[in-house]
Amino acid sequence: MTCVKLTVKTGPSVEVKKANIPPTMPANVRAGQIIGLVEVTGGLGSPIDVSRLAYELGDDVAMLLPILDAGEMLGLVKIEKGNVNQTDFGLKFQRTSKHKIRLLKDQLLKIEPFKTAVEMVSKHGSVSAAEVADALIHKKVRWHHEQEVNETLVNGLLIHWAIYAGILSYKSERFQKAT
Amino acid sequence: MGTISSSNPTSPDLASQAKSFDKNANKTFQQPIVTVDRINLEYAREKDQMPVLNDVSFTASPNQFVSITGPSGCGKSSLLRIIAGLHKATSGDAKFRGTEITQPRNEIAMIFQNFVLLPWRTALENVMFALSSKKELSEDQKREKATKMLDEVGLRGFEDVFPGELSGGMKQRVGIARALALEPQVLLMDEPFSSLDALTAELLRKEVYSLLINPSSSIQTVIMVSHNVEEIVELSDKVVVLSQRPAHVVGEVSITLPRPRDRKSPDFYTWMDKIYSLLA
Amino acid sequence: MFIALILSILFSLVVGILAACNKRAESVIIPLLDVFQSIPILGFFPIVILGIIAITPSQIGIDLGVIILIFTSMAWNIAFGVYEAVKSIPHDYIELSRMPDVGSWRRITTLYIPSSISRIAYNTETSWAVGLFYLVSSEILSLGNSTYTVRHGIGVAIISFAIANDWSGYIYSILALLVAVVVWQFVFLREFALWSERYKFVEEPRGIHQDPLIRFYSWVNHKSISKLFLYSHSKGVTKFSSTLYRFKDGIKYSIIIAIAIFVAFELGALWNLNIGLPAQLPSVGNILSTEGNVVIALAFSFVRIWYVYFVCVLVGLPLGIAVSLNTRLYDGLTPVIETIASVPAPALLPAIAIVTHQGELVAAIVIFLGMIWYVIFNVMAGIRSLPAELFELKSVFHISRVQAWRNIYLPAAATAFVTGSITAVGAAWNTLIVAEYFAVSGSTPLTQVQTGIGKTIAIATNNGNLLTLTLAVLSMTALIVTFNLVVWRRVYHYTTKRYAYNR
Repeated sequence: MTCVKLTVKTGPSVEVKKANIPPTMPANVRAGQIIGLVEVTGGLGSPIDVSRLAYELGDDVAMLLPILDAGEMLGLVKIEKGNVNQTDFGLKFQRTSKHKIRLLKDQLLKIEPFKTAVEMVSKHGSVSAAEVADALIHKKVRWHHEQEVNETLVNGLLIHWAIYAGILSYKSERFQKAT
Repeated sequence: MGTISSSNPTSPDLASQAKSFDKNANKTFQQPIVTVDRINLEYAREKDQMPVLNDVSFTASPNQFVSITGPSGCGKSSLLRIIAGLHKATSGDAKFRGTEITQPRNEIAMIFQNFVLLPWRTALENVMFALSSKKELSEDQKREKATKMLDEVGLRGFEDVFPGELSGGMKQRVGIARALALEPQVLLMDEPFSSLDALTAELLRKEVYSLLINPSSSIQTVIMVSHNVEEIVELSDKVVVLSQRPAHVVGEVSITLPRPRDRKSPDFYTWMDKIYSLLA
Repeated sequence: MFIALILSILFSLVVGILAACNKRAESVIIPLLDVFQSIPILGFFPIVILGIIAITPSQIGIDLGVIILIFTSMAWNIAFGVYEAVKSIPHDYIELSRMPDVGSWRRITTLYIPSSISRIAYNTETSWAVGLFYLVSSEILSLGNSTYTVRHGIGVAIISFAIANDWSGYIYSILALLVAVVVWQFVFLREFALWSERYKFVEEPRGIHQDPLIRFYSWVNHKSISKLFLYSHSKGVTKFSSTLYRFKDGIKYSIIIAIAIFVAFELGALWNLNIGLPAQLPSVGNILSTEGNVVIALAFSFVRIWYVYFVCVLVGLPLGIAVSLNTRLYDGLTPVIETIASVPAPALLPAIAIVTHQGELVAAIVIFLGMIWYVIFNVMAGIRSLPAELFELKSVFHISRVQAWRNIYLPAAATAFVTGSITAVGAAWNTLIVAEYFAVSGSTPLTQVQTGIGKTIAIATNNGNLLTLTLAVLSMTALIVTFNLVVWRRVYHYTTKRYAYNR
């Protein structure tokens, strides 16, 4: 068995600002994991060490990294020197009981694939996951943890996040403006 | 794996839950909703009968969360199926408000470990499926009701999504919405959270519990089969512990821990030990 | 049979391992295997035989030809199994074997071969039954021509009895076949399968090997359909298969095969082997008019298959579902059905021909019998593999029977039904070669249809008409391969996407 060498970055947001590439939502991160991340960092008290956090959540650190990336992009946590801190926004998120995910709407709009999807919907009225994927490939947007941008990836993210946050609505396999 | 401390005393929703719990406490009356009365279950084999359940009895009262637990394969799921009306006991019976349960009925709903949604139908259609037998409702009325149920479990906007496109937690929510569509009084759960990751499971546990104590929901009692002692202590008022096959009731534990229950408190561990000792 | 099996296994090990390890090899081999699997074996039988006879004109040659034929029926399936097995070796083991002191040969013997054994055993069971079908059918087919008849064989026996009007002999020989199949299954194949369990990485749920139906189900999937379509995940094949959707490519490959065979014959002629190819190539006009006839015959057969398929669906789908839902019915009927199904449809041809003299009806019945089991067994296995709770939903929500069929049972059977249909139609092509025209050498035909490609092939074989024979077989193959690519693959993908039950 090979050993995994651990490097905890301070997060992609620093690199992102420099290179001016829109941030991308990691393919397999789901809302439940983000909610859990915020709960645990809030519950155990910030700052918390990344490996301790992984232990508490029952994941290995490797699995945790995309979730942390997403948490940072959404402004819910901040990672400094290997420690995870809950932000004020994160605290507000934790305290909200109904429709938490809707709070993330503004942040999500800055992240791909939601940004492009919303642009296309306001232009064309409705859009399919395949069309969004094609547009992203055209724009040469690359995903961190995945190799290929394809319809399945985009569809999964749009369905899970865009609907959940109330950014878009979904009918007959196409996405439209949120009602 | 460490435990998740997700209870936060200052969280507003839990405080209001505690209040409504007191409200319901005044309303408790004596009649149990479900009575399990000396159930024996045997499966026929080639040469003989294989006994599965042996003289199992317990009751579930209004506003009570009952858990059934025991070693793997001891027959807990079979017992739940008898209560659901899907199986017939060899002797003894299960009663709903005094009437024997002989077949599935709308007042008793069930959610499953593996969700059991129809993958070829959308979330909305899956919930509407529960209303198939309601001839008095029009298609539009069924659609409206199903949409409302999906909204209540937090899945507004997902009506047209197929189960294959949903995460585990969302699938179970659809399962819950489907179960609630007929406004049942009893909710049966067969290892409902064991296919979910720890965080999602925790969220759903809280939501299910609030279904029980929320006066606007029809659910008056919950019976859950589980082998997760931690979740049992977190949720249950009463725990029925079964032995190995042929399963008989080893003990019945009434958990008097006040809510909201803190997983890290020493009292919590004491109750867990109590259950473990009965399981051994 | 044995020889063919050993050859198949050796071939498969080589090809399968090569394909699994080398990306380039993979992108060539897998599609080739794919095409080979689709070729109707009985169609190529005459050509193979003729080729063999030219090289070794004796009785042995014929038996050799039969062996090769059975080999082709088994090999592709086992090769796919090896490929899949090697591909799914857990990564840790592969890492281990890459250590410096482990040479390539050692790696092959200690890692790749053992890990393939379980799949080989599993697929052998299925391939065996398939091989048996082709064995019997090819024996029967060979009776049509006096120059290359197989002398001894159960297929020969069955038909000879029938021809001689010795009906008790006929029935006895069919029973003998059945007994042999059953005994063989239990004595040899079961042991082989159990022995190979040692070589598994992961404990498979025991249910799989014990349920006779699942074993039989794998029999009917000898064309490895699902494996075929699963290859889309491996990169080399994805790029390749996405282009295959086009009609043109289907034709392209058939043409390549046609050219290859034609070249082989030319070489044969050059070396003065007596294959019977005319001294000069037939004229283009000749080719075109022959092809014209072939196309018409093909069209008739095509329609014939589809109307028989339609009947199969009407009978098989509901029956398969209904039997699987009721455990008692299932346990009782399955062994019966399995036994009946192991008689290859061509063996029943004489009996049917006696009962009704309508050529079209005889053909339809024989083809029906060749197809129906595939549909029924796949549907049954599909339903049985689903969790019981799915079907409990009917009583939980008090769903009416009609609604249950529409919302639960039929969709649940969908993917298995498609798989079964694909194999059934494949089998139909093979069956119709025997069913559309059958005559023992020299005498008048026992049965024949008005027009059909099977009849065309049979008559061409008997008359030694190589041009017609080659064109007929090639056209048929081209049609099948193209249909597979254009229609079946799309249908399969759509169905699995929409109707597969994944937890």
